[in-house]
Amino acid sequence: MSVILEGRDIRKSIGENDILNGISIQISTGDFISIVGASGSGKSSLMYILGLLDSPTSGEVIIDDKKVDFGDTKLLSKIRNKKIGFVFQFHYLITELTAYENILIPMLKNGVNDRERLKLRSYELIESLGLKGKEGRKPYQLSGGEQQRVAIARALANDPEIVMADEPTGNLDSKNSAMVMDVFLELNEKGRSILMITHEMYLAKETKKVLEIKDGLMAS
Amino acid sequence: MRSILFIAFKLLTERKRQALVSTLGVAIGVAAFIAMSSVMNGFQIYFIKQAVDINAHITLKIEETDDPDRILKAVYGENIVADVLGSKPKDLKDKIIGYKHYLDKYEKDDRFIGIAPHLTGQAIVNYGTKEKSATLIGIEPALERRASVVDDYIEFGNLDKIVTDRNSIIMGKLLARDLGIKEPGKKVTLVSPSGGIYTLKVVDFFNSGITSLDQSRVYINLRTLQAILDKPSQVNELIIRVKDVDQAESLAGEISEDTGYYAESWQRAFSNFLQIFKMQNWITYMMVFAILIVSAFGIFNIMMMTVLEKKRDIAILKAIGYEDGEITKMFVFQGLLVGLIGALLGCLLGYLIQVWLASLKFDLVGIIRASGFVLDRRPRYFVLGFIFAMVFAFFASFYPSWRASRLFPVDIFRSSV
Repeated sequence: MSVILEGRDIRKSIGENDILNGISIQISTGDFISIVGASGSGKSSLMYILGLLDSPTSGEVIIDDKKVDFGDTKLLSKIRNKKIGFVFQFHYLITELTAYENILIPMLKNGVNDRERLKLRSYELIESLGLKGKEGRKPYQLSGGEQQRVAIARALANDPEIVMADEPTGNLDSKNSAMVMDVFLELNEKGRSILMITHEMYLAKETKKVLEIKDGLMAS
Repeated sequence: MRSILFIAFKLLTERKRQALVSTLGVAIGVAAFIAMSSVMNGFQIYFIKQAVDINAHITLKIEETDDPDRILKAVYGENIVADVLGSKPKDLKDKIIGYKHYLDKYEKDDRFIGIAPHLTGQAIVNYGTKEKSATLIGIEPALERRASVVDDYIEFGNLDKIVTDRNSIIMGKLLARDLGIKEPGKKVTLVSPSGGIYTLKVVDFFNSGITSLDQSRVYINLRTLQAILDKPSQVNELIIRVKDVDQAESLAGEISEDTGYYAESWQRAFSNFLQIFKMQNWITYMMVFAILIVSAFGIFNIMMMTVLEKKRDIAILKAIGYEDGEITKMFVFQGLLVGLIGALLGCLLGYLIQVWLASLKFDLVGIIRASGFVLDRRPRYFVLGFIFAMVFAFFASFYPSWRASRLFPVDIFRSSV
């Protein structure tokens, strides 16, 4: 299994608060890692840094054996678009767009302009995530679970190497949480690497590796 | 780029009401600009064209100077302050000496279209019991045609009749009306300054649309007027028509230096009007500017609201990989789209207002006479209105767009939890 993404001695301070105190982590092909910890432990901060949404105070992020230059915002955007898919606690779907159009957005950014290709990929995701017949609906016309599945489809649109999910079930009832978790497990079975932040231990236990963060340090 | 346009378009079209209000604001601004510009400039261009073409681009004449302290200045220098009492106006030799030489000379100069001699004088015109003072202008029609467009304003096209019938005149339309003359063929009596009485036939009317000219002017054969005023072979003005009217001022300076006479360009002759027009234009453009500023604030407002309301969308777009510049473009494009649709609507509305104004018929009597609005309907006002709208839309949307691009997604994600 090759390493896709690695964080080395990552530290993050905001003002005088030390959020992360030197965390190292490796994500390889086929990994399903869950990070657990109490609120404010630094789980999300770690994900934002590994997902190149935020920069560390010190430490390194290595992707494809190359150290990421956090000053190169164009490169960061490019890596986020092509290699990483994000799923958040809130779906963050664009309310003016239909489910289908929301899924198109990352692909359009990736320069996919062929209408047929766009349609094929979108419908493939729509079908695989059980959203057939809902593609023309606006987010507010979908249930919470459906909204989150559309967000997952959007995260997978560019076939990223890794999916990062920050409390993906945090806003869902148990039925929808289980459904979303099933989707992740299925994706991982097909070889997709997943990094999931959660505070639900019963969900974390379903993943291949559970890491706990405590006071900005890796506890296990 | 396609994705930016796609999202921008969707974001805008889903906020129909706000977008519509902003668009209408721009449209009204552009329409007001087009309508006001075409009315104001139409009037000004009409006036200038009529006045300049009928009079002259350059008039060479004897300068009227009243300098009673010239002898004192010659003796004591230019810096004295003197008040000379009891002086009489200088006895001017009111003629251009050797004018035929200038006619020949300037006819050959390709910067000029034509040059014509004038002899002007005052007289009293009587018709029946009515009498009016008039400005007599002695002309040679063949030369006059080349130096002015007087022909265009002779109602029945009988300019040459003053050549074939030397005792005929062409009278200003309003002067004729004031005297009670309604049709050509009437005979009037003309009393010269020296007291000579002459009977002349009105063969046509001069109707320029400029009230002051139509109320006073009488065209007469140059030879006839020379005889009436007892100024044989004399002229006191040369009018010159130039190829480039904007060059009239500099050419006038050149002619003045060359001839030693006072050469007055049309710009100088109508400087009072041009100043008024300049002021009118300033007022018009300030008003339109104010309208466009208000509409720009409309765009600014909708863009700021959008940015504030769409923080989460901006955050996710950035997470997905959209760069700061692309986010800016996305929002600027929305502003430009409002500007574009508003400008196009404004052009259409402006055109409809022009059509409506052009259809209005009423008697306009002022410094010009017309039977309705005189509009300048050149496409330039549409082009300018369009450009202004787009520039305003760009600037109005740029700051909110820049603000959007500066949003830090992590802050949004954290605050959403």
